[in-house]
Amino acid sequence: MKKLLATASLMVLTATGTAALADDLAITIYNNGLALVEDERTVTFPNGRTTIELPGVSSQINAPTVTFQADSMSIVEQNFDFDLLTPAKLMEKAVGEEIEIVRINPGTGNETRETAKVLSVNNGVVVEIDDRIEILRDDNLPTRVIFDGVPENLRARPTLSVMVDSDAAGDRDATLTYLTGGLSWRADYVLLFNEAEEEMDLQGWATLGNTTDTTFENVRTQLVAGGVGAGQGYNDRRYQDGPVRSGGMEAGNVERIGDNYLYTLPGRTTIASKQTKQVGFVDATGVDAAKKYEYLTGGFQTMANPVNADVRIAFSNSRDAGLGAPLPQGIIRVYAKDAQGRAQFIGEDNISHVAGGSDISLKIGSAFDVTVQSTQTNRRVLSRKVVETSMKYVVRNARPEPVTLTLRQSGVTGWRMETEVTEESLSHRKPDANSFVWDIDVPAEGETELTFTMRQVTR
Amino acid sequence: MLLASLPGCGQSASEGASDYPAASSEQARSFATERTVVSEAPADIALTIYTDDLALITERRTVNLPAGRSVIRFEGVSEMMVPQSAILRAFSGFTLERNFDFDLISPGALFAGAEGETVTVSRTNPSTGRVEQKQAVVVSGSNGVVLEIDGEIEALQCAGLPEKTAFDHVPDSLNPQPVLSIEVTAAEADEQEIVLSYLATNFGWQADYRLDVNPDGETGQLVGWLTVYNETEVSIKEASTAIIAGELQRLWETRAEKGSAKPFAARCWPRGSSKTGVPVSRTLAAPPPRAYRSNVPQPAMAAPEMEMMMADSVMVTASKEAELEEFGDYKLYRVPEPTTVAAYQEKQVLFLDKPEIDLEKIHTFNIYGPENIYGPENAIGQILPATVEYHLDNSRDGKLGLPLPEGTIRVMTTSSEGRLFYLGEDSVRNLAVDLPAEFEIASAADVQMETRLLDRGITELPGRNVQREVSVEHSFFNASPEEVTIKLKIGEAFYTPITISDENLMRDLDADTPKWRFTLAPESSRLVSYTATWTD
Repeated sequence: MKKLLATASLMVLTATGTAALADDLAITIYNNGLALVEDERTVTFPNGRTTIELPGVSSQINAPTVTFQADSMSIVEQNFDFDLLTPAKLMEKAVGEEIEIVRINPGTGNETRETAKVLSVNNGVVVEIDDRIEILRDDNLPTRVIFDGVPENLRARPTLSVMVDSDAAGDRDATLTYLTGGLSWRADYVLLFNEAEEEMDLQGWATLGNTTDTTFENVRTQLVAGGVGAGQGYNDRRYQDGPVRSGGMEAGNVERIGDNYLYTLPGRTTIASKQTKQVGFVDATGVDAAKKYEYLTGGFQTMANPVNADVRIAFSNSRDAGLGAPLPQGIIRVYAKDAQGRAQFIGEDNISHVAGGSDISLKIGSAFDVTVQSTQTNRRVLSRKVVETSMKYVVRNARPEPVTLTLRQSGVTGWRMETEVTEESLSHRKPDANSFVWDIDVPAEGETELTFTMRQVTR
Repeated sequence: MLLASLPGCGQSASEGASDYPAASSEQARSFATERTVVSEAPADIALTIYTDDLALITERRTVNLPAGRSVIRFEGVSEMMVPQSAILRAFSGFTLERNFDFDLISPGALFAGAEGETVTVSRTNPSTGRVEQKQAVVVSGSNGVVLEIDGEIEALQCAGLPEKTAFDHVPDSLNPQPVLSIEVTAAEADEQEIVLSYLATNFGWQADYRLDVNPDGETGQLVGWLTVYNETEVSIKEASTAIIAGELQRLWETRAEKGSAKPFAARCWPRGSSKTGVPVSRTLAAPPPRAYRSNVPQPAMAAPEMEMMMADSVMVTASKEAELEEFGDYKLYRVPEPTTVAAYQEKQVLFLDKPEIDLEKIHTFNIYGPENIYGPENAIGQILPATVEYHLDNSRDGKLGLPLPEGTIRVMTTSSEGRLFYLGEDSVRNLAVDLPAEFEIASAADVQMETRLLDRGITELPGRNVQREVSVEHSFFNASPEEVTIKLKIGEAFYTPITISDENLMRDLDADTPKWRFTLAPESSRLVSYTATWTD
């Protein structure tokens, strides 16, 4: 109770300024679950020392980041009360004080009322009732506890109070800024693929989430996409098996701040507590797109059963292709129209932040009709250090039109191993030191066989 | 007597030593007439806070000591006291014994402390409402409760009836608050001013920096706050406060003894069947030691975690600026006026305010080892976004030129429309003046490096060694509308030196490890190729 009294006496010593709510709220939401709040309000400052209470701040405020600014005043101290009014807090603050206990006998229904002194709240409540010591509710009988009142520094909402020294009395604009957790956004894309025209439509939706206990009303909202925070780069490594197939170098049609993309929501919006909200940010139609079949293998395997090839949708977010915008990290859900013209969901993939002008290839699923079956046909150990392996890949196509499958053989090189192709039925590409790639044309309702022999020399 | 050997005990200690024979005879005489002197609160307090979950609290207390033997009870000390670190100074007399009683009242402690005592057990019949009261002796209370009622032994709460226990009194060993009690002898009755110093855990601080980058991208404003926390039950009021930056050697043993509150466990018999038998209950393990906290909480955490760790309140003190003092091998920041650090409070004190410093923004790519980027598992290649670094000029004669104690730096900027933006953050380790002050604050989607291994070769050397050769091509892309400065650095973690040849762009030949630095125009790309050779 000592703490409570100290706070109460502090309140008496200083005049209290007008409790003000935000006049103008601007929030910038980052895609890593962080938001910057700029909160402008008109505050009535008396002359001299005064405590101003600022209700309606985020319940997940990052306190060390708070700044409060206004003309003709200096801050004496800032105090953020996280002491929220809960049943547990009410009991904790009652240590050393008297409470009333009401018990109803379950058999007779008789009510007994007793006054108890709270001795400790420490993994259970210990009370003193008429010179005997008891543990509250250790018999699990219904027991009500009645308190005289709410301690002064327990509040229903998190509140920031600032003690300032004001040089002049009057109404002035004040700005409060802070970072908060609990506000986030992510990008969700809808891609409608038109296979016949080799085109697609792409819509990007920003999905805002607010898991704080605070509702922000009438907010100018901006969304920032980027890898904000240290050590992001290394986690964000993109392999070329993934959807981003090349770096881009087009700035595209997007606002920027620092190294991030910035999206401004039109007008003002309300971000309610525990609510999800969607706002569109990209809308492009008639973008060039193509379907690809790929198969990636990491060794020399013999497969009893054929394996389905990967189906990918390849497009570029370049100006020439008709998109011309970077794409923030998110999920792309792909749809295609069936014979009746209804859009059906055909798969989804993740993308990281993609710079403008990049080549993108989304893996949406496995091809029902395009399969690969491999057989290790021969293996010869020529010496302790030289091995030759012969492989056969049968690619089958049950579709009514011809397809091209890109087969990539990797995982056959090593730190101490040099690998070369000595014999092959189709000629390979070697895009890098570790991969051998064949583009295999397969006729409609037909199959194509690829055979090759590789020599691996260990040094 | 212990105190006599301690440095800094000064006059009182030597007085004590000379009085020793007299005092010990008095000790024998006054054994029966021991008195308790209660010191409720310190008259004046000084607080020194260290980074690593530690504070030194120095209290001046006035006590009226009777002649002879007495026990001084120091109330209102921190429950996170490290009792073996307590030192008494400016005390004329002897310390015979000292005890730190931190066993606080809790339901579990009540039962544990009532062993051998008689309690009243009330059983309520829920259908009739009849309450039956029995006197019971607590046979065992610390690990499940065993009672003796009317000469029979039972466990508590097996009756299937609501069962309640009433105690006559709180056991003497339990306290409503932690107390340090010291048994002393004094030669004569006197009002004495005693200085009590002790270490306490659950205090700490970190520096929170805010860097506002100006639109020119070459200058900025740096403001530093010392964020102090007190995660204890006791408020330190109107204390002369100092903060010490630097790394002190710390030992595991220097920690508070406060155990977690004993939960109350009735532990009636386990239920079993003839088929499966009675399950063997595990012995109740001792509560795990409090997690040793080597770091102060990082303010920017994932949201739910952040909420959990946050102290009850935060206070920012802006009109006071802490002053830097050199203090041996550490840095000391002194808060100019007495400050209250309340229980479960975070408080901020300004310690650095530089309206203009010089800085540089660089996009970096670091290649940390051959396996990461030259390895055979890296088929085709990979695309890596640049790390955004800000390098602050912290040279001795620069505009900053100050030691930077450990903490977090957050980088902000203001857009042309006047809106504030957060650009990212990094942790700061203790940085002396003239050391590179480089912070990685974000990754850049618009600035990327694509790596392609064109060829690899292996040459056998005498012995088991081989020489490896990789021909590498890095394509750098800048998709941003601004020119960027790029730094490529190879081999910070290479265990064997790497030789670069055939490079298409001149590298920095003075650097210890291969390093390139160049600018990239807006919407452009550039190719850097080289051959890397090393042996292993």
